[in-house]
Amino acid sequence: MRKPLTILIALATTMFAGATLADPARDAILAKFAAEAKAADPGFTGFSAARGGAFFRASQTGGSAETPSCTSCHGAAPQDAGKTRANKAIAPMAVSKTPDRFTDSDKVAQWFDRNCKGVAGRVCTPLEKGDFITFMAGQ
Amino acid sequence: MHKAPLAAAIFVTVAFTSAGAEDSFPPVGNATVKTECSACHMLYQPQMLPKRSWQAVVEGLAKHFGEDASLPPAKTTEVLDYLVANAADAGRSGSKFLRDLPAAATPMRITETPYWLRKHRELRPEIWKRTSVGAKGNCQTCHQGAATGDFDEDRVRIPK
Ligand code: HEC
Ligand code: HEC
Ligand code: HEC
Repeated sequence: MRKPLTILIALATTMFAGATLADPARDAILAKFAAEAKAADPGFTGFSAARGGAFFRASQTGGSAETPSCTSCHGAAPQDAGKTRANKAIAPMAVSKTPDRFTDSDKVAQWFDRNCKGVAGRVCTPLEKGDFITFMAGQ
Repeated sequence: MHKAPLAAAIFVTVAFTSAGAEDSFPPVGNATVKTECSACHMLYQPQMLPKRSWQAVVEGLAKHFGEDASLPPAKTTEVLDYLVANAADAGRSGSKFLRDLPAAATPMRITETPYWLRKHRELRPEIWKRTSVGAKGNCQTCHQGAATGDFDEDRVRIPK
């Protein structure tokens, strides 16, 4: 069991290092999602920033009517600050603007859980989470 | 013009009274509360609601004003313990947010307490609709020192 995971982590790390801003903690989070995505679908070949961008902007149903999209709070442009329903500013999701984004695995898990339910009424898949972070890391 | 030294004197007094005492809103001293309860809005001081309210707020975090603000069990307990230990009715004298609050009432909002309502009664309804204000709970838009517990009426500035 150990070996394939190690290979996957190595693979994931090299795959993302080129296009995105690297950070060991973020790479480890991505590698974990990659392992989960591979377990869910053996045909998984890697995360896609394009898919992540589309997911970020998609209008979804099943969650709260007030927040149909990730952009409802995070704003349309990842480089800009967003705003909560209570009107507090949210630092940009783009890693180039907020370098410590997606580096605390508990925080990442907690907010994916809350926000996916709030937007789509369900948890996000490992593929969606990995795509999302890959997209933001390249922004 | 003699107000400034007086205000300063009052401020110093207020700053040094112990937690739970009247007028005193010391900065929140628990890291988990600070992180988890300031992500979506300003960090509210526990001295502004009674214990029973914090109990209800924390128990209802999964459906918190239409949002999922739930926490893992260990964090939930830590947050609740801190809020209850520093609640309006935790100190010996009690915070002014208890004034006129019926014993049977469990307000879920600071902005529903009789004391808060009385202090803001003179503000025209139009003010709350300004996008610069956003919500009654955005204390910091008018009380710039809200985060550090400064709600003195001499330092209020209502945004246009
Ligand atoms: C109701 C408002 C709201 C919506 C809608 C929303 N978010 Fe968030 N999100 C927040 C807030 C508030 C934070 C925490 C504040 C911060 O990290 O600056 C956050 C943080 C996050 C984080 C943690 C970032 C980090 O630094 O680790 C992730 C991941 C995230 N959101 C993903 C999403 C995704 C994916 C969607 C769409 C499915 C989404 N959010 C929709 C409000 C929202
Ligand atoms: C996911 C976002 C989110 C998180 C996290 C969150 N809240 Fe809230 N909170 C809200 C929203 C939305 C409102 C309602 C804003 C409005 O309608 O004015 C609110 C309102 C409140 C109010 C009432 C404010 C008033 O009008 O007097 C209190 C008290 C409160 N929250 C306490 C907490 C505490 C304590 C925590 C930490 C355990 C917390 N909140 C974490 C979203 C959040
Ligand atoms: C739209 C602006 C605005 C907002 C938002 C606002 N306040 Fe106020 N607040 C005022 C004004 C103006 C006064 C002064 C009223 C007076 O002169 O009696 C005041 C007075 C107070 C006082 C009494 C101060 C004193 O010296 O007696 C307290 C305490 C207070 N506010 C707390 C809050 C809290 C807590 C919140 C958020 C839950 C809040 N306020 C939100 C405008 C605001």
